[in-house]
Amino acid sequence: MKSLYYESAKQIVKGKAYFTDDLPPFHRELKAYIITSPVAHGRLKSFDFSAALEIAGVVKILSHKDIPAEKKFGVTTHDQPILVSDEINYYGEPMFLVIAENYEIAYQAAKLVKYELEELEPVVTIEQAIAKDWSLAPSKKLENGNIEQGFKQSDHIIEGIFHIGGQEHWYLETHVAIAVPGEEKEMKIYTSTQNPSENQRLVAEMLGIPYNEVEVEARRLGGAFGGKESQASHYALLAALGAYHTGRPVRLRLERFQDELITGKRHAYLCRYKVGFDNEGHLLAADLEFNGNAGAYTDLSLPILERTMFHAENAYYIPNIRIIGTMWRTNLPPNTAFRGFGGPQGIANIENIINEIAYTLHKDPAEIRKINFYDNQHSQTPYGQEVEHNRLSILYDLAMEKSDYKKHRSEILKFNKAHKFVKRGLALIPIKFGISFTNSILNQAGALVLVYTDGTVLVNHGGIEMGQGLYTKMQGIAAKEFGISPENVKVTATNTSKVPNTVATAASTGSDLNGMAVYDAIEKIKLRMAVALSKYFNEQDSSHTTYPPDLVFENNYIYDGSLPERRISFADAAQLMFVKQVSLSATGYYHTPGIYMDWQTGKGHPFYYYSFGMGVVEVELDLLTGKVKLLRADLLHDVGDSLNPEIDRGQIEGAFVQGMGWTLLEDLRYTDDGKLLNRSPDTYKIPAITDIPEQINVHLLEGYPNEIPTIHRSKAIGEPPFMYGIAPWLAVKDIIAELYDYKNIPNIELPATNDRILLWIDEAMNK
Amino acid sequence: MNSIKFYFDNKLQEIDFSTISPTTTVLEFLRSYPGRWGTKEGCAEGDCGSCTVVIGQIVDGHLEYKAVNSCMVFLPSIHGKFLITVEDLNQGDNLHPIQQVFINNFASQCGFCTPGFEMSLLALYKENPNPSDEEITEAVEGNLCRCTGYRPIRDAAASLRSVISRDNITEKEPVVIKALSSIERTDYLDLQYEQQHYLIPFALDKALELTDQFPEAVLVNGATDVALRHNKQKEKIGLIIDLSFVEELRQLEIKNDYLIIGAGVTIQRLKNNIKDTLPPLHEYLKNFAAKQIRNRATIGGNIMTASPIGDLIPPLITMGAQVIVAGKKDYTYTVEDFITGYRQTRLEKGQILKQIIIPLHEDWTFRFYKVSKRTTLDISTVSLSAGIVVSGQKIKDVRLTFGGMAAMVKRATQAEDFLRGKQITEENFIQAGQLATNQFKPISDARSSAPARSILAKNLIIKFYTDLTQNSEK
Repeated sequence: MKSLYYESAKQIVKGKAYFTDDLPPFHRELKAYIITSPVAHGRLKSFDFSAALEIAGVVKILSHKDIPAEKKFGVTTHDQPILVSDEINYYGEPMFLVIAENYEIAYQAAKLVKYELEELEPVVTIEQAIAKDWSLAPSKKLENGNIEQGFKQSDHIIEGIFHIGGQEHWYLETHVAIAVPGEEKEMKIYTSTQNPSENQRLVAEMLGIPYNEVEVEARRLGGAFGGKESQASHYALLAALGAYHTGRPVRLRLERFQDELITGKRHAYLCRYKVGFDNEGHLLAADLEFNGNAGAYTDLSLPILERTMFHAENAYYIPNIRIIGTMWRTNLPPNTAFRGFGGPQGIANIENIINEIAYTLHKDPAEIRKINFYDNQHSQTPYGQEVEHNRLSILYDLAMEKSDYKKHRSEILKFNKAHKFVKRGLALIPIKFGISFTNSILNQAGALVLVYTDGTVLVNHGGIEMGQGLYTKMQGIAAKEFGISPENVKVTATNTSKVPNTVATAASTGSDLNGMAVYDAIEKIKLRMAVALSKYFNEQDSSHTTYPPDLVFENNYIYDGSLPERRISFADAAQLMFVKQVSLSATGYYHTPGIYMDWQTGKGHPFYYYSFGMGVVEVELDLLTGKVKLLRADLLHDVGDSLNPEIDRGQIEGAFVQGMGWTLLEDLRYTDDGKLLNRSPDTYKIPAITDIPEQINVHLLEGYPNEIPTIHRSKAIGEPPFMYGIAPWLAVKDIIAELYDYKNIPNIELPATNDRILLWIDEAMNK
Repeated sequence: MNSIKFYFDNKLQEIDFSTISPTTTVLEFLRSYPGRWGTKEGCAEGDCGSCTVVIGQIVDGHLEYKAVNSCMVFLPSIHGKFLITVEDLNQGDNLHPIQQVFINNFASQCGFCTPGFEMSLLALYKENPNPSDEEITEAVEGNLCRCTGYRPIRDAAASLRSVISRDNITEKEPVVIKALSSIERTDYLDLQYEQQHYLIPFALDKALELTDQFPEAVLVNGATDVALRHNKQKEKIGLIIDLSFVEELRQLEIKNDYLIIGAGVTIQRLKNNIKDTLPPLHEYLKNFAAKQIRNRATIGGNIMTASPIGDLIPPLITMGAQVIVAGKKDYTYTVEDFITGYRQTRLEKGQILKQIIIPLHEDWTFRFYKVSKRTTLDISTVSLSAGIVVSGQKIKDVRLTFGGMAAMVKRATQAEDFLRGKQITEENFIQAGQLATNQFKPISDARSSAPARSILAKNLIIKFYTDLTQNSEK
């Protein structure tokens, strides 16, 4: 299948695409600047804006007292203050909002705002939160089989602790929102959000106005990766608050250092494990405990924890398993969604365990992986859902072949014998990723499709374009279904006044949900057109009877399949519909069937289907500097029948490199009093072009359409390939384990940054 | 005259500083210029490349193009130059080849970083229509993309080889050169806005006169460090003398076995010109920040930061380089002596760092190492600049200068003393490494931890040994 180019590519390469902050200033527009907390934990005792307000050009300075109605926000639990009222719960928490004629004046005014604080002792680490029993919610549990019995049957039992670090999203476009007041109570918001409907609800609740007074629009996001799923609301709220109090448009754009300071990250985890296995390496029992660092407020931490638990066994059948998960409250920014949504942490933990098993048994970790894969006889997950249409073994065989795994592994053994200070490693990682929002209700979408009388089509849906190519895929679906050229289909800005009550574009579900909603709307229009057209054809010439189902939409024409010369161009047909008084617009709606989860019993069917993949990555480690170099990556991925192979390839490569950043490069260090040290790109390092391997070979598994009904039998793509980024970490671990002869290996954490690697290998180097 | 002139948007623009601050950055200027929203702010500190623009400058009668981070360029410093942004690629209905390959290769996802990449590649292909893979990587190593994973961008860039010959920018050149040449020459520019004062001298004499007259002035050249005070600290810098137009500070020549470098020579120009004379320094400078910054940052500026992790200071000390300071009279110091403490030098008010002189030794062998978290566009965690003189099998002399191990760049004197007169053996270098580690008490910070830095100190000395012995085997 030929891939459609990105629908916005032309505007983007010309520098003419509008991102939110590129919108020209609105008439009498003001700028807002946030004053943030200088401590991680404390109490706001008093504040005084008088000196700051004297500066010419300062219009208002707002505190929590200026919030007219709902003072807190959140996704389900509204526990996060829009502006601090009393207790300060993280370093960088928004306290006041300066509204001024320009940013420059706002900065100068901010320096003159006075306040008094009482500092309290902060809780920064998971260990500290556990000691204080600061859990966000009661622990959750998934259980299958009987672990005690499993351990009894095991030849070996290993136990350990695994620390996993967080990750800053580092979308290139920082958070931004513009609030434009309208007539009476109306408020229109242009913003960079993954969830316009949520922004709409929260703004209305904050201002105490009905939802229908608030309109939220987002045309495109300069990257999001989950960082704009729940947290973009905060900036829409603050901009709206400013607009409410001044009656003028207010723009709020975070500078990079503020964005890194204020916003939540991927969750750090502390994992404990105990696993039992036989002499061949078959997993017989696993007792897994996950402790996540939620930060100060609830945000999305609880569903994130659920996804961690749902992916705690990754691709492996473990007959006896217990998974316990807890989110812990700390004085850090509220951690949030980030590509994979907790899944990567669950998967990294079990993959780390598999390597430990391999070291215990002196086997190739890839072999241990293979013998534990889910298969037809062993297909029940810990939460009761069967792993159906399993493609793990097909992918494994292909990965072995395409990566030339055996040859590389034996070459590496030789290489490592021949080199004292440079070593190589190779790792394979399987992916089995559940597709659907873990909160089953959210799996729904709406669309609005409009056909104009010149035959052009306008598609609106609830999904957000953030670089993942969703709009392009929707354009492709509409073009295919109407049988018209893609250039006659336009996908426009996502807007709450076109499609209401939408969900966040997240959980990799964007194309699945919105694609089906768009399809549904198109089907309605096509049916109306087919009825009217068949009548029209039959009236024109009664020698042949055309029935509506006979009509085929193809190549910009609509024709009778049994009498192809009976045809009309799509544009003429559209014009004809106006004459025949037939509606050419329709809404579409879709919800994913048959998914549910019961956390009381820990059983359910939370995922519509699974996405599979297999990656092999080779790395080289300089033992003297700790530097890791990626040599090659072979990534085999199952996207069903791809909606757009080039876009899917782009998602796979981009996710892999982002994942590699998390496991090898990106480092969040905090002071004991809860201050993030790496709050600028000066010290927080995402991968650059020099960090990617010479060879990245991506193979889409071809000839394997999704076996359950999805849009054009495709599969979701956004998150699953992020897991490939764990493979280079595993390869580094292999190298370190070899240095220690697979005995008494130090506790290797994630990320494995070069300076941490030096600490882990120093002992082996000095032997 | 309180204004500057430069070519932009098909005309010679005049910016009058009675209504705009002279520390306005080119990025801030562009973001408020109608119709030019293509240049993006990603970080405002030169670490992401989203704001990359191309600056054309007349050199020997023709235009030379360089990609720079517009967030770190004060507007007055583009006086007399040609400013090119992503919108200038557009050629009516036809796309520029750079634009076309980005579309064809799916090299834009969210697209926020795309204009910056396009500008980096424009400068590259103007410089060299047939670049190597390494040169392509070098051109975009200062551009971050969080979506694509870079492979399609790499492919797009490579597919441009021999494709761009003449484009609409080439077409414009005669007009641009004519316009820029028409700008009247003055002794210096004196730009004033409210409490701010920005001075641009065009000759060293004038520069010295101004520094004498305004001893409190902040001296800038590429301003890649000082611009951060504006962007991040929101500081209104009151008094600036911009030395980037002083011709005498840009000389670069070899004289009597000495490499003489004007303090205003950019790191990129230095790097490109020492491939044969100082190969180890050439290699080392490849990992100095990224190309957009190397195009602006100067050798003098890097020394004047006197930072313990400044990239150039350790190799200069190891090579025995000297600096010449101009003022009422000239003074000469070794770099080692010139830097006196954490961000402190011997430069006095009213003086200007003029030249750097590097002796070109036959008998010394140098190796310069920089360890950072990320290979490119990163500041060093620890660096070692090592030099050695070998006589027979014995070490006649050795210099081991470390960055990142103390509050200032420091030599590992105990390790050096130990090695002098010893044989080149692994054992001796391991012991020297241990002495170096013991000498320093490094700190833990955002970049790394004290224990990791201590390990690096000894490891880099072993690395020096392995490089020395591997080379002798060859």
